[in-house]
Amino acid sequence: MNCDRAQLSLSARMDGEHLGARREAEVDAHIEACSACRAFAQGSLRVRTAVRIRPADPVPDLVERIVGSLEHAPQRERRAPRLREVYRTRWRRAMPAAAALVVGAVVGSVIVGGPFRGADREAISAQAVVRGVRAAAPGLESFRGSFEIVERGLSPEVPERRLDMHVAFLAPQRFRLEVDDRTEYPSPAWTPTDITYVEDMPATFLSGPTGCPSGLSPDACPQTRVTASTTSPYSLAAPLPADLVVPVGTFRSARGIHVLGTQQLGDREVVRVGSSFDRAAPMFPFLRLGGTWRPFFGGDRVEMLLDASSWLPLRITVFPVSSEARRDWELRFGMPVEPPTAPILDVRATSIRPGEPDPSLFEIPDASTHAFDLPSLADRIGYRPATPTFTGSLELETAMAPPETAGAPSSLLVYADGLDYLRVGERPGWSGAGPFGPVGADAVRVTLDSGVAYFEPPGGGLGRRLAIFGEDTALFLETNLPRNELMAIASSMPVRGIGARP
Amino acid sequence: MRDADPRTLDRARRGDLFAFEQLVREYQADVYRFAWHLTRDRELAADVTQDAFLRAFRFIEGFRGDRKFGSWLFSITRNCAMDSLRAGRFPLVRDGEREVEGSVTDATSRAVLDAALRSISTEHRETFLLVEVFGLSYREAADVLEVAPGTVKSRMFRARKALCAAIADDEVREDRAR
Repeated sequence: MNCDRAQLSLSARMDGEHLGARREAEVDAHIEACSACRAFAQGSLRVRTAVRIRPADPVPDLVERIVGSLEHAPQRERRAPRLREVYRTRWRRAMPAAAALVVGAVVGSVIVGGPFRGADREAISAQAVVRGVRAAAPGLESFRGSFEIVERGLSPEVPERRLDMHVAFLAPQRFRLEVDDRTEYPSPAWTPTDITYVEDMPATFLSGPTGCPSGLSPDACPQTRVTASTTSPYSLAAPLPADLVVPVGTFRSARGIHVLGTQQLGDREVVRVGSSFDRAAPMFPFLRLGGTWRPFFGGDRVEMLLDASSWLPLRITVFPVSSEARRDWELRFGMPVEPPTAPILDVRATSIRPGEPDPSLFEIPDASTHAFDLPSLADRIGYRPATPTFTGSLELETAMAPPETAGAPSSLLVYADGLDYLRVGERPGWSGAGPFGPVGADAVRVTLDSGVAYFEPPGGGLGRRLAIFGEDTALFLETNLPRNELMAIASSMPVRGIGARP
Repeated sequence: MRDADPRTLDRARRGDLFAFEQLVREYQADVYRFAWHLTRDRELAADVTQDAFLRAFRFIEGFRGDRKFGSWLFSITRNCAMDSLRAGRFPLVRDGEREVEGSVTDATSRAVLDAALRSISTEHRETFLLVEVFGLSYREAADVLEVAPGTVKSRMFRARKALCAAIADDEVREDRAR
């Protein structure tokens, strides 16, 4: 055996290649007798040691940059179904059973103190959660689930309350939320917070006790604080219970959202996310529906557990934040000092029921929504409403004439796909000051393919909004779609925006 | 080299961006290091890493799973690096060239090793990195490099021989300097 052959075999052996017994023996015998090959063996080992013990080179975190660029991967979009389509198909097929499994696992983990303990795996980015939620929203056709709400610190007489909450959704844009207060109150002066809320966009129905002002004892509440029912045929508020199905409102952007980690639950992955109470406000729609609730500080800490596949919120917990601002707030409202480790509100999914909810659950008593098909609406109002030529996957679901009120549109079109929605309101000949519709005077002027418009980000219970002033008509668009999709739809409107009237 | 979790891989193959991001998180350091060794430039390595994951995302549906995901990703990274260098994206001053200035006191120090790695040919260097640094078998490295396993074997031998010689030369220079 010559030196080159011996060193070649030696090198292969170092890399875990099997030489065979005979070759092994030949190599060992050659090295024993050859100083050059021994030097090669020693040198190779020194190189290996140097390579393996050297400190790792600093590596930049490129995740955001890479994942951000994936959304613009045109070849994949041409070759394969769009990401949203993939998510949608999976969701529609798998969501109820999968979500029920996850809920079962979460309930189990809470009972036995199980898999949520221990170190989290490396966190994914908040942008990934936003993208996941966004992709899941249009795919959902129905949902029936129950949650348990535990609220602590309402008053010294009622330190803890337990309420059941049932949420149902049926596409397009029909929601029902019921709160059943199971608390045993110390006296009949307390009115249980039993609430029924139904939404059949754009009509809403609410039945529940009127609220008792924060800090006022129940005995001091006005006698009129009784169960009242209200029907509204036309409301522009964003669908209230939507975030309890898929948190589209809370995760409209990654700002203020922190991913705390991920956890494996059986073969499912759960993401733990943190934010402030104000940022997660859409996750607590029941707080805005009347009844009696304890106050929350805007900066309080919220932790959410989301199923990483269906994005169903499995648990939402509020903890008092430890800050000087909260101490001031506690003093101002006469609240006791609350320790930051004790949850003051805990909303936990307890069951998901398969199958579609009964459509009669979403019927609104005494509602007259004046819904028509587009030609009938045009006949009624005397003009054909402007419609976008591009709506993505959204389809026109409702065309209506809202009741005549100041500033209201004379026609309203509702487009929807799963939890995604778009409302287009129009009023020809409108001559009011400032932008039209639910768009404030601080709206930002933006350029569309067809002229200019005024944009306002989501907030105040409304989605993203855009007002367009045409030569002879005014329009607004309101949606929970991302800004770029809203812009694309607005650009396809057959109205050229000419800027605000003086 | 560890392999990707098959469930994550399966979800990524079906277009789950969330799952693909987990793969990015898991492999970005290895891909970046490999790209850096091929290009010797941090900015270029970051660009190559991004390109490699983009390309992987486009073609992951066709990834058959008959080889390790990491090997497949390294093949793509190598192609991206070569494309980038072919396109004339050579750094003006390569990172390693800045680092080796000054005296070297330890023959197996990082600077010496980097200098030795630079002194060998690209084909020997990339083979050495895949096998010795990233732990690929000869067959896996052969897949990445699109050569026969026997070629990997001989390149490893020649790379080792060249590195041993480079380090020995450096030691001699150091001895003379003392």
